[in-house]
Amino acid sequence: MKPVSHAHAFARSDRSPLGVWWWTVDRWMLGVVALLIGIGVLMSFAASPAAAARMNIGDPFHFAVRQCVFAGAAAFVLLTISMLDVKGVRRAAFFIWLFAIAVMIALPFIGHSAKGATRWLQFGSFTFQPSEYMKPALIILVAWMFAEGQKGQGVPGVSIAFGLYAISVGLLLIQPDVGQTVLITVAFGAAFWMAGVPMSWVMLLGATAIAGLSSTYFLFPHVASRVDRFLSPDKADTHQVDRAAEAISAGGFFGRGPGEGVMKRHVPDLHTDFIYSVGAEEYGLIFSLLLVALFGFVVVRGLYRAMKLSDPFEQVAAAGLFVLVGQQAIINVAVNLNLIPTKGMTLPFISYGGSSMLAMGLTMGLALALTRRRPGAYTPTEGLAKAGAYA
Amino acid sequence: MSLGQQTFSRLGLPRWLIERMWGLEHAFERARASGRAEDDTRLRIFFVLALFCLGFLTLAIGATRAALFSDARGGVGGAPLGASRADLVDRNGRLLAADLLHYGLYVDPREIWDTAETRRALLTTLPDLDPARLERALRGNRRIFVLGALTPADRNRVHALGLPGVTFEPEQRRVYPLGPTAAHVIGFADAGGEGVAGVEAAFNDEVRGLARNGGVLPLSIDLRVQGALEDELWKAVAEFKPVGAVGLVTDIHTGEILGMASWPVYDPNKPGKAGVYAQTNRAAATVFEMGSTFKGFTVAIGLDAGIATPETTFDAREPYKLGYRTINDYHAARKVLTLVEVFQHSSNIGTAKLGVGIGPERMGKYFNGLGLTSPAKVELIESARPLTPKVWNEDAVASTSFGHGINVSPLALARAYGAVLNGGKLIPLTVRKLEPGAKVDGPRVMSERTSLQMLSIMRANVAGEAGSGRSANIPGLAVGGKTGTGEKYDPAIRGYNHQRQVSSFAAVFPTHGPIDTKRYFVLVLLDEPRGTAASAGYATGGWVAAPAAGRVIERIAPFLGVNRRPELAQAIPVDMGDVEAMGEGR
Repeated sequence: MKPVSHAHAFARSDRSPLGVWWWTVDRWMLGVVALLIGIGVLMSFAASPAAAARMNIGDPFHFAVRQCVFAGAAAFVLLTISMLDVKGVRRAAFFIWLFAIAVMIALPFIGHSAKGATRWLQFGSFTFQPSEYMKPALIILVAWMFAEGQKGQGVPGVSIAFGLYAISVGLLLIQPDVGQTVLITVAFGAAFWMAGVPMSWVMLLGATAIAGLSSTYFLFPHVASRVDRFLSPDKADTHQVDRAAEAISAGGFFGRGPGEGVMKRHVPDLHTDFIYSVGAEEYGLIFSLLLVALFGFVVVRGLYRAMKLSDPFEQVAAAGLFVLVGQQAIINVAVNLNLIPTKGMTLPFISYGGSSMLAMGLTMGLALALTRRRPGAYTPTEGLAKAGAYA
Repeated sequence: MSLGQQTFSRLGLPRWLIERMWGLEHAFERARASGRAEDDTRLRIFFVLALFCLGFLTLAIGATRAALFSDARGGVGGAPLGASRADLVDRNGRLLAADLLHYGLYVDPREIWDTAETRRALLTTLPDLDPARLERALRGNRRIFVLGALTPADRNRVHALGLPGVTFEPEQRRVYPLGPTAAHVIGFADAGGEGVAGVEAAFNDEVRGLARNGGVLPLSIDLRVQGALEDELWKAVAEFKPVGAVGLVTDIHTGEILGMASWPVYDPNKPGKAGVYAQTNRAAATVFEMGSTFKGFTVAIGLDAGIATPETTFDAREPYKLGYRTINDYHAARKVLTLVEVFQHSSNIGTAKLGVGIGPERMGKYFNGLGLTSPAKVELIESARPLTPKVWNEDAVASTSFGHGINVSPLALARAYGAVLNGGKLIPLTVRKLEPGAKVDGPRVMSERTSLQMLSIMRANVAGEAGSGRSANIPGLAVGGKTGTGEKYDPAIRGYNHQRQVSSFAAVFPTHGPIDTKRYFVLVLLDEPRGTAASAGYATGGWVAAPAAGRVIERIAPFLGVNRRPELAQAIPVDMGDVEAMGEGR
């Protein structure tokens, strides 16, 4: 899967691009992400036969084989992108964002409708969801703009960032895709906040966010029904969540055993949104905790490294990307555990889905590129700086 | 003006907006440059990091709780279900009723892949499934119950179909392994686990309570007795084709009902398939004008009250004119009869005269004492209220003395006979097994001496050549008894219909031995039997009920530990009044 199989392929003194990459990239992070992708492939073999049978697809391993292809492609994207330098990251983000937005504008005319929304482009048997790729690109761009704005060189960074955000979210709401809107809003807010919003603004923005969230409740009926369902489980139809709770409970500590899960035969979308429950049923609490720990490791280590970076753009961009990954993981698992209302959201690297997988490869690739060790990228002193970047 | 500002003004935006925007931009810039610790990016990233730590910790706790401490076990897994009702067993521990794990069938249209296939496969596999109900479920949008009480075999057959969206929930169903056997005693419970009839209803709370402790409820019924009783009763039914029939076996000292049968029968496993007529326990819930079996009470009362001795004579040569009515004998002897003969010939004239001699007030008191004027005291909720004379006058007394003008349930008759024969104590009947050797006490309504006299008189009625119950005479078992043939009131002719009779035989065995000898009362009653060639066209108690009662006694005596004693072929000499003279010698 990876171009390198063991560390000895590169000597410390190797100055080739690959050698430099290997010695500068966060190898722990790389390893854990590889492990997550591996788990995703493993889970797809558990869930695929049931999902294929449900959809009348003859080949029981239809989804598993495709997941393997996606995993390979995602690994390739991840590695390629992680080799970029900072300038390359910005450039890639800009073009990816432009491309994604262009496709999203075209979606209402050429898009593929499914489940009451037009979010996908269809190429043969593959679908392409531009908003997935737009997310990391947007975060990079707004982080860049915040940093530029702070330099005081006449770039209206905040305005441009909000403009980019408004365009992105506007196009998402047309589809409509409230889930991605929430994800982007949270990541955008986090990036803005980390970039150094004065505390007085935070209150104002917080109030706006609350107003926005409550208006989605009233404007989008399916959001309202999901929230209602969560708040009053007796009345509402909680089929997926109930089955998930039963599956997790049946899994217990050690699980029913590989392939022994029964929930996967009962629940639609199990190979995407409810893959966590499938895993928890078959492999038990040990697996659940391992998964939570792996995501926790990725996010916490990523944020820690972002914190240690010295350039404000790199800090905010890297941290924003890890927020993107982390919140998606937390929301997905929390839905599976019935801690929050049902929200159709994939589990990064684990859920089946080409767009989701490739976009995660892109996101992690960008994050790894930003957190690579470069001369001057990390401040020599450990711990928190006493004051701002210019102190 | 900076480059950016110029660009924006070239876009033609209003000046105030541009000013405002730049105000914000500079504020953001200044905040960054001010160097306050709370504005530092590192500190803020650290704060986000801490939030995520908290989030992942919450997930870990949530995952642990959901996996190990959740009670979410539904259709797929399912915890074992405890019985909601305790097992019912007979007095020897044989199973009469039990809760068994069954399955309810649920259909979830959201999980179904092929509706047509599911419909066809389910309807072929489960013939009991209502197509309309299945259709409603298939067209719905949630998981819905469609059929209950499926056995594990049914469930396996459905599982073998491999239909998605078709699932089961375990449920407890009441099962009566013996089917119609003792159906009316046991009764039945509804699908919700609540008793509806018989013991199931009478002991509903207790049966549910016992289930929680894993106990069983032993009934007084002896399945061997019940089996023989039912078999002989069904045989009599087959022969004489009545519209209803009752069989009873009770222990006269404890009040335990050892056997209770009612025809027509039903299967308590499928109570809905039988009508109310079949479900009715005729031994408890139906009242009959019993006819001559009541003469036993009149004679006993006469003896107990000192109105008559066994040798007292009654002139039965002429019909007895009482007010506007004339009382006749069915087997008119046209002679003067002693009290014993009155009993044996079943003389209406003699008992009516005795009844009038006893007097309305005393007769009423005795009838109250014998429990004939209130529902038979037994746990069964079916126990029916009798129809009694509105006023106790001479006319009423004359009628009731030979069992007319009063309707009681067979259980009430059995209870009263128990008091007459057990030494004079009125005790409640029970369907619950009593501890072996339990002493049951009740108010004294007659003397022990009367009991012994009545045992002799009833024995004579079976053993004697002239006795009406001689066809129940089983060699060596010292059977005593009294026939009864009541005529039914027919609203169509506004009077008693001679063709529609209630024919019965009330028996006791063994009649010999001291007062505390284990004794059993047996009643066989046929409602509107039809005479056959074998019964010479007669449908009276002596012809249709007494032989059946005899056969019952012959079959159950071994189970009850009553040994045959060939030397007891003859009648017991009736004690003529000297209390001290009776006892050991007999």
